[in-house]
Amino acid sequence: MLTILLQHTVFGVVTGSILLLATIGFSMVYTTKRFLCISHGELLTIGAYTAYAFHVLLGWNLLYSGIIAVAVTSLVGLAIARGLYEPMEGHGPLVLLFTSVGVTFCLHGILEFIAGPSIRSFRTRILPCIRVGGIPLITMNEIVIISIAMGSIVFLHVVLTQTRIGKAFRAMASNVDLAMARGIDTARISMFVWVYASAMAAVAGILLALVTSVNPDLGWTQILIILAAAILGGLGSIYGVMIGAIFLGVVMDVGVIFFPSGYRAAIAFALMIIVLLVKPKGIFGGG
Amino acid sequence: MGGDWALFLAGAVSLAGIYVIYTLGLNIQFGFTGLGNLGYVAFFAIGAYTSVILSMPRPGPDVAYIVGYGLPMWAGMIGGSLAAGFFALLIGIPTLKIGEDYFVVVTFAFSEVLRYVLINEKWLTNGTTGFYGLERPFGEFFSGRAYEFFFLFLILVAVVIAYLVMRKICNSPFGRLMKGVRENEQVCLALGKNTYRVKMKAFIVGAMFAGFAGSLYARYATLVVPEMFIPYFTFVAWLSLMIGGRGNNKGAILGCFIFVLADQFTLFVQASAAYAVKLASLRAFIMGALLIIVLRWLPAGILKEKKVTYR
Repeated sequence: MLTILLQHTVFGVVTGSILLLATIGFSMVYTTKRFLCISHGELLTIGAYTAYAFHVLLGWNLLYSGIIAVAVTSLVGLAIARGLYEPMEGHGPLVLLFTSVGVTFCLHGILEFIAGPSIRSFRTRILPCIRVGGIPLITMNEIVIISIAMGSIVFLHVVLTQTRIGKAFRAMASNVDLAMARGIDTARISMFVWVYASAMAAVAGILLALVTSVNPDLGWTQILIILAAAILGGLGSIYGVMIGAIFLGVVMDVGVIFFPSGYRAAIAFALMIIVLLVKPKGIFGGG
Repeated sequence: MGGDWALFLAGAVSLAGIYVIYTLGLNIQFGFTGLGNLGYVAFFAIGAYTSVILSMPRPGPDVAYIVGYGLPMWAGMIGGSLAAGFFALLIGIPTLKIGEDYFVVVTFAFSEVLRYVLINEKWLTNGTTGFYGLERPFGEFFSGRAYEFFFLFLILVAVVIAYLVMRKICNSPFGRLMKGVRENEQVCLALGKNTYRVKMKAFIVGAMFAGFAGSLYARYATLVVPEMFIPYFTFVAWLSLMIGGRGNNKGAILGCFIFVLADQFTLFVQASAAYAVKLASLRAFIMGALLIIVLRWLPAGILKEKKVTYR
């Protein structure tokens, strides 16, 4: 029993690490743009498919394919924001939200049109498993995923606290008008947010595709869990979201020991409702 | 050939009629009260499943499900609406007092999780098989073709009643209160109005309309399966409402007819099996693009909400 619990906790940390990468971008958009960007999930799918196309179809190295996928997704994310979201700013968060729902349908339609509905696999090698006290606990693949997530957190933290653009981002997140009055170029920060958020989404999408599979619904099934993680950590709290995502990943994967696996996402939802009832600002957010 | 066209048209108009009732419910929630219900299909599904389960005969020993109460069909439909309203109450309690973003997320999550429940709880819903071969109201009095026209008549009667009820609600003082909450909740609070109750009532009434539409849809399709209640159907109501004009019940009606016209037209495009999938993805793209275009260049919809001045 303890072995199973331990293994599921490790799975959970892996799930949580990927979720963290996906949710941070979503949360960065929410803190500066103040709307729930549902199309964020589709960026994961775009990242996964682009990497798949270069790695499996063209036979390039996985690292290079990944870098190209991140670049492509960033550009797509920025283009969508510039062309479709920014002209709609000032119409209120609900109009932006529904525009993003429209974008989600469009992107999903395009991807499925090009790639078809079939489920594909990266066919990566499973690297040797590390045993702790005789139990197979964690594979090297999983260690790499967790390291990438942790590395991203540290990098983001350094960017947010040490660089001019990071500080400007935080100023804009706490008060847009005040930031503008102090001479911060909010258009430039917006660009930074869209590119950074889309890049993180691409990384999350590729990692998720590596551990599961590439399919057109990859992002759509994630966006629900991304929303749950964002609420859990407190909407708009970047650091809360980091803990919220890992926590949610562990709870979901440990939860499948006790509940049917069809309810994995439902566990996330139940947790979210409990948090909303007890502490609406999220476990770690807003005091 | 002419007869087939009439039959097709009767089917399409029946569908549009069901969508009208469905969209009227979203209109009271979003158009009047400003509640962004992103999981609206959940209430449609609850209505459909509840009405079917209530009016199904008691199950034999050879099926997976163990429920079925053999009530008359009309009782099932009432039960479906009430169940949808009850779930709206449950969802409303934790979400309507906090910010609108939370409401959006929770309703969206609710609709997705409900679908997992419909798939997994076989004792209640018969899983992915669902229930099929359902009876239709007064089906025993009409033969195949004639029945389609009779069903259309029934739907139209239901639409007229639904429209009149909704008009009554929206033209009442409560209708003004809903718009007040939408425009400025703080002012309504300052005037001593209980805005939480206003939102709750609008949410429940809207959900009951969705539940009723769902119970009709189950009879229209003569089956219920979890696949019928994908987020696409939330999108159907939203798109119809945005095209027609939110905050305007006539707009909701117009929007549904435009949507069904466009949607059913794509069925005529001849497609082999291989292209059917491509066509389905293309359809998702077109619907998404339509929503973006309407929001951007026709934000008030075709029939704008009437500006009313009270003296």
